[in-house]
Amino acid sequence: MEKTKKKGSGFSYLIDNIKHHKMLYLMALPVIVYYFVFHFLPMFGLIISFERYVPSKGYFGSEWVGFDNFTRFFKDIYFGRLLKNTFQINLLDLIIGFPAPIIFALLLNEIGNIKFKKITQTITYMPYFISLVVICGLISTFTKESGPISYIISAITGNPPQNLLASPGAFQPLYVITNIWQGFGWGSIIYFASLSNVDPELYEAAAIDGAGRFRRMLSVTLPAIAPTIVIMLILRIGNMMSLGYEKIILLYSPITYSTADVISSYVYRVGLVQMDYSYGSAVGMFNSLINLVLIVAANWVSRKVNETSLW
Amino acid sequence: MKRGKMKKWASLLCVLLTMVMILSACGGGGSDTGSSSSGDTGSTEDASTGSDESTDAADTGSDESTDAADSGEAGTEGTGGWNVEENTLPIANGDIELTIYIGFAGGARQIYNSMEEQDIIKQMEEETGIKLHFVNPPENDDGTFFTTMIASGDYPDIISDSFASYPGGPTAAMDDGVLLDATELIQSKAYYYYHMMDTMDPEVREKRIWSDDGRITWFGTVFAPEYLDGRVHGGFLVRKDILDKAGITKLPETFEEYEEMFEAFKAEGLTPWSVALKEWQFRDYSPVASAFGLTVRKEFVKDGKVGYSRTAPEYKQFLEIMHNWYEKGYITSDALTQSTSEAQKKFQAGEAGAILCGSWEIITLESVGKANDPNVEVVALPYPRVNEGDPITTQKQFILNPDGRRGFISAKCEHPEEAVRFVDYLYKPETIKMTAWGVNTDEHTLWEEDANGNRQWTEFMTDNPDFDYEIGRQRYTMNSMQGAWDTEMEKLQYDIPQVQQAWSEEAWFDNTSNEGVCSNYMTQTTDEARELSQLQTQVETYGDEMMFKFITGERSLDEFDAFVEELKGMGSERISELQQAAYDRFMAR
Repeated sequence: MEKTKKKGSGFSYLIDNIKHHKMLYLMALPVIVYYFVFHFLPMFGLIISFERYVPSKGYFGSEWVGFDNFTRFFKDIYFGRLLKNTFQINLLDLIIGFPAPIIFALLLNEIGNIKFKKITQTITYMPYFISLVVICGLISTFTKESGPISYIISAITGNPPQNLLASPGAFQPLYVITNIWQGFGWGSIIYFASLSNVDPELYEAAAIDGAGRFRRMLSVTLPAIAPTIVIMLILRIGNMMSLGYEKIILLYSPITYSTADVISSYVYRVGLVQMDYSYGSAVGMFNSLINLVLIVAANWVSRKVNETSLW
Repeated sequence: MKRGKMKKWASLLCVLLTMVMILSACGGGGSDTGSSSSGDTGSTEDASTGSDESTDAADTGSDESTDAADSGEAGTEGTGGWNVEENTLPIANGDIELTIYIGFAGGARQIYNSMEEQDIIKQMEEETGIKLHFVNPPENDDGTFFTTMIASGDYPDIISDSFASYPGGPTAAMDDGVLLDATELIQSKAYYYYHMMDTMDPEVREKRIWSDDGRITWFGTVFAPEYLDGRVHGGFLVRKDILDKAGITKLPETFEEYEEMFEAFKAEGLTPWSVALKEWQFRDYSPVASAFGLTVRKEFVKDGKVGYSRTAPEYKQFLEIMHNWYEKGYITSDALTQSTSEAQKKFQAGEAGAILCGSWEIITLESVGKANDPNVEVVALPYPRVNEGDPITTQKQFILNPDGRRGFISAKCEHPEEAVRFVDYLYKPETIKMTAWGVNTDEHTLWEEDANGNRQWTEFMTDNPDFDYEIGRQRYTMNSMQGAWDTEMEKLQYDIPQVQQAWSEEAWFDNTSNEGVCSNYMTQTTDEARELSQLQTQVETYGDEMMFKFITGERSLDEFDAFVEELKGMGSERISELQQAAYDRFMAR
């Protein structure tokens, strides 16, 4: 009884809120529609992961096979390797890649010369706007036997130059480093935005208390942008399992499958190239479930530890 | 209090949503540029390397040894049913539209927005009275356009594809309701198709166009003229000028002689063998592996028994030689990632000594090479083998029904009879001439005919400052819709000394036989075929990866036995078993 009452009041509260902030809700509307049409409606299609889906027979005409596709995936000889690669690449990317834009923003924040700051910012954004296909074209050309990157590596190690994309050991570092190069400028924008909100009086007060530059960065700047960092981290973890598979598909080849093949690239190969739609979607659904668990866990940890969370 | 919290919540949500919106908008823009730029690179690549025929011949391969088979029981399923009425034109009166899924050649894309603008298509519409529309996969598509089209459930009327990527192949697609089993329609309406086969060996006809369960699955394919039949269409091509310089006068044939040649190339600072190990040329021509009676990744036949190449003990010898050549630098690490066109570009640029190529590519490879360096001369070699004169037992080489692509009628087609008659119209002798030579219009004259009816290209095609011959053919002729290749036209392309040398006993043809390969025309039942595609994908993906690792030395060859065990565990023996059954049925047809 009380429950329904509460619910009712929550709803009328929402109506009230909408009346007060019409413009905000209006701005949000296209996004809500987008998510509904492109992310919620297609979930219906997940039904095919429990079938042996044949396009011409449709969702209801195809043979129902229950969890067969899932058990097939768990028994797949690549299951362990896919899981390992997925976590390994994403963790590397997270541990090395996530702090990069933060450090960059903090460093650039310390620079007084506005003009230099602006130019640096603009230049570092640029790789983000180059199409991924072109980026991967550049990477594979530069890492050929005769490519400059292979040449530099060979000068450092003393071995004759090798095609780096043909060596399984080099794939993950190459992937993560080029990811950082592509994204750190763009990723730092949001931190710049929150840095500009820090009250300058705090810096003055800290300076009067005798805090040096580094101390001020640690005690004033970082706590000020900490909520943003946490939110970004949770979002990042939520994206972890699906991040960047296009780039993997563009760069890998059978010789590097052992270190490069991840769940999402496997879904692409099985589901789209080999037309095993149901199996592909079962693997994809497994991927999404891991994703969901990760984001809920990250949010929970964050709420317990530092009281910032998405919900 | 509560109100304040809710407000915070709502504003946070708004901020997040806006942010996501901005990000996703940017993402969308990015991928747009992505696809368009890939299209651009695609067209240049296609222009420099790609004749449509290269893919045609790629999927070739058939079995020569038909004589052994007993033709007595051949016709039980089908032949009786032929009762063809003449296919008179026009087929319709402009009131019927057909949509066709087919490849759109890169050279034509440069000047036409769609295939409907091409002269040949306009002529076809006029003659048949059918309005044609086209669905084309993007250039350099990896096959996912086709698969998503199939997944959409929305099919064009005629689908030109091999359906090799469809799990279980064309018969499974018929059972699933993707394709129409048009056997009866073909037997009653496909007049020109029937008469074309009449001119061929009847045994050939009965053996090759049927599936084991009595359905016609090779309607709409491209027939090769006798002139191209029974040739070896691919193999090694090397720089003759460098052989001469190094004093190698006898064409290398044994592995030792090959190594001697590679050393000579290396001494000149060239990549000895510029090969693309992940591409079909290496897999299908199967150099080195063929010396041991095997193929690189498929099954082989020995004494009527089908075996799986990668589990045969001789496969280790193939891997040993490849690894040895990799270690010595005859094959470089680029071979693992590059495409065939990249490999061939190195050869054209004078940076490589040897490549694998098809007979249709020889002339381009030499002429581009000569443009860079006038000294360049090319020569084709016999396949490498252990001892001189050893037979090379397996290779996909004999072209009979050259094209894996066929004209399938989709199950959604509303005018199946007209669709069958349209595909049949492509086999009409006049249509074949037209698709091979193009249509002369007011704007351009492509060919001239002398009093005896012999045709020659005009300078517009052979000596045009705006495009080379290959691009010209892609623009003004229609390779993809030919019912058969025109002998006269093909001869112009192949009657040159370089190709004749490659086709001779001295080079690719040297002591080769085709008895060791499984024919492309073997068929399985739908269930078998489904099982087979699933097993093959698994086993081949794993096998490819390990093959590369053995070649580079990432894995030691001591592990070969474990590799074989693993393959067997994954079902390689079941593959041989299924293929054995199909082989036996095929031989008994």
